[in-house]
Amino acid sequence: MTKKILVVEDDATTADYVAKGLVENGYVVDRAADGREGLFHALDGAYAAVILDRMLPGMDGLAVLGAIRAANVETPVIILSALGSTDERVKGLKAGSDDYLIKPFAFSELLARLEALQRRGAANAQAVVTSLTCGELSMDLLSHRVERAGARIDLQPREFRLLEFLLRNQGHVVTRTMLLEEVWDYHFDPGTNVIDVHISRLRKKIDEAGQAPLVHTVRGVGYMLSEAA
Amino acid sequence: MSRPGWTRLKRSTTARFVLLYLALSLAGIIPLLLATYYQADRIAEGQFSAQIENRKANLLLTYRTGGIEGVAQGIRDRMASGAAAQTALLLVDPQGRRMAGNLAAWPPTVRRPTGWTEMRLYRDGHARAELFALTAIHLPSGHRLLIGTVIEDRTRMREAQLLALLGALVLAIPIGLAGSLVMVRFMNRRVGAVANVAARIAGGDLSRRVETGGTKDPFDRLGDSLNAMLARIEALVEELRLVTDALAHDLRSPLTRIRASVEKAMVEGSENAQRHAIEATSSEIDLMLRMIAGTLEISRAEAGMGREYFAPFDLGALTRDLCEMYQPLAEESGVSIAVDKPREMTFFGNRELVGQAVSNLIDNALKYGSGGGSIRIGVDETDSSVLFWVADRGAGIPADRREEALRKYRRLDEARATDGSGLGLALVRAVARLHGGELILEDNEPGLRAVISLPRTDSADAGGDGRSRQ
Repeated sequence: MTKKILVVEDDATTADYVAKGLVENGYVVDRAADGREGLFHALDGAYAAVILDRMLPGMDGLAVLGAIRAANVETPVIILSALGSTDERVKGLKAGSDDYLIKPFAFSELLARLEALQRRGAANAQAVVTSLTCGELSMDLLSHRVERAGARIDLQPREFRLLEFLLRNQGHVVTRTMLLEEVWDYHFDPGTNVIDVHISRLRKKIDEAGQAPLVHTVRGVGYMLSEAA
Repeated sequence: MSRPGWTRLKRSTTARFVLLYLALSLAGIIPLLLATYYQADRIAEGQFSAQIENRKANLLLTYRTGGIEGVAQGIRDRMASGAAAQTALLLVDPQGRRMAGNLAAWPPTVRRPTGWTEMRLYRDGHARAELFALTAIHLPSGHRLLIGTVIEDRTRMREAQLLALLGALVLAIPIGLAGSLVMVRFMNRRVGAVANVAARIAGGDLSRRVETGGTKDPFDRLGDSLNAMLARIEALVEELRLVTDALAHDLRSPLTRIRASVEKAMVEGSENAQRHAIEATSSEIDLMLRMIAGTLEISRAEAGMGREYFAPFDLGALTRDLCEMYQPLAEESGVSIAVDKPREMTFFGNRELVGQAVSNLIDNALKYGSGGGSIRIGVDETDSSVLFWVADRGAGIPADRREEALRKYRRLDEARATDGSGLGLALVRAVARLHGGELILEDNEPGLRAVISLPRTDSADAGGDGRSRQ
């Protein structure tokens, strides 16, 4: 079944850019160019997610979000905003959005976050998971035991969380900022390649010589854990 | 005075102030004068009535012991002795004939025994009528007795007091008017001086200042705070100018590099060259975006925005988190990084911004101080402040260049060998100031020790909110 995404964005160039990318990735896209129209569509409730611009003519993005939540519509919402400070982000998340992306953004970042949001929604619906696996790599969430092909791997607590996040999103790209937010709970840009070095350490522990690599670098976007090369 | 002029006068603060001042001073004086007047009058009246009551009591006593003849005799004696200079006395028989006293006849208007009454009467031997306070007594035998005392004095006193009261009022109005006018002119002059300075500043001359006399009166305080405000505005405007220049300059470098690589790709035309150009452009754009984001974050912090998201968090956990975050990177550059005496410390502030500040310090230490091979991070507290610091053993910054290092876009390595926006320390300082503290650069002998000194917050309300995981 194809998933429907609502894009509420008044800037035609940005809207085209987002819609085109989503269609290429197999989504069906509805577009709204102002807040009222966006709210009208969103209340319909049939969408897998709403991508909502913060500053809209007619009705402010946060007001639209407030109205959607007030109507008990629980569709995941990603806010797009040129207001990038930490407080603005907090304001957006408090208003009920599920994610907050700062303009300008890379489409790959938006897509990765959109898909992560879908998976999170699906995972919440399932029973509690106590173990995660990817090929011959397995992680026991209760005993904090990680093994690859029967051999135990010792991980630092942070490495464990990093791997857990990659495993939960296996087969999908996660970006550096997603890792920073989910694993470290920080939203600022640490500047240098801090995350890359953590990944390369984890990779050294997971992918030993002779074994098929599980941790893949996706150029210009981020990382992906998967069995396929 | 023309009609519009009058309206303007009514509306003007000066006129209102004068009227208010006048009304207030009158409101103060009039009750005082009235109170004095009535009090004095009552004292005088009390004296007169005491005299009469005394005389009345004496005569009644005489009547009881000596009968009506005794009373008549007593009156005659009194007249003869001259003790009745201020007194009117008259005793008449039941038919109204005079038996004794210094009045010719019973005044026809006094019929019944009365309490107090005032009346003009002619006494024997007096050419003009005098004002008396009288009381009339009917004796059981049918005789009647009139006792009075001259109250001309009291009336004169009343008149004198009324005159004084009016005089005071007549004096109070011009004095009040003059006094308030003087005060208003004085204030107008002081306010006018401030207004003149404000007008000059509005005209663009930001260096103007209000003159103050150093007396710490309200006008001086107003002048001082205006001057402080102006100094701040001038500094901000100057800084804004510097920042705009510097931002323009620093954005120009990546733009120039982008242009160069794009032109090179166009000339070469190969797919490989184009891909290189696109990648280079993308990373230059990222750098520019970081610079803009950094500039905005600094401006917000400097403007005091972000305080509404202050919440308690553990500074110790934050430093440990960040140390661990940078650990792999540090090891790759052959530097050991460690937290000195790890401990818990709850602090009330903006965790994201403080985290970013510490991370900038560590990043700086890694970039410029990694030659020393060791970076230490720590949190200390004193009675009044919380200090957290990042210290390296590298080349450090000479004392005379430390202030320069804190400025926006100012990078001390002229060659700009490492990439960076030149905003790192400026942001750290802005965050420190947002929390009411300061960033201090010290000599670590050798190396640089960057200390963020923040005032201690009352941690009584600080409950662990579990924000820092693990």
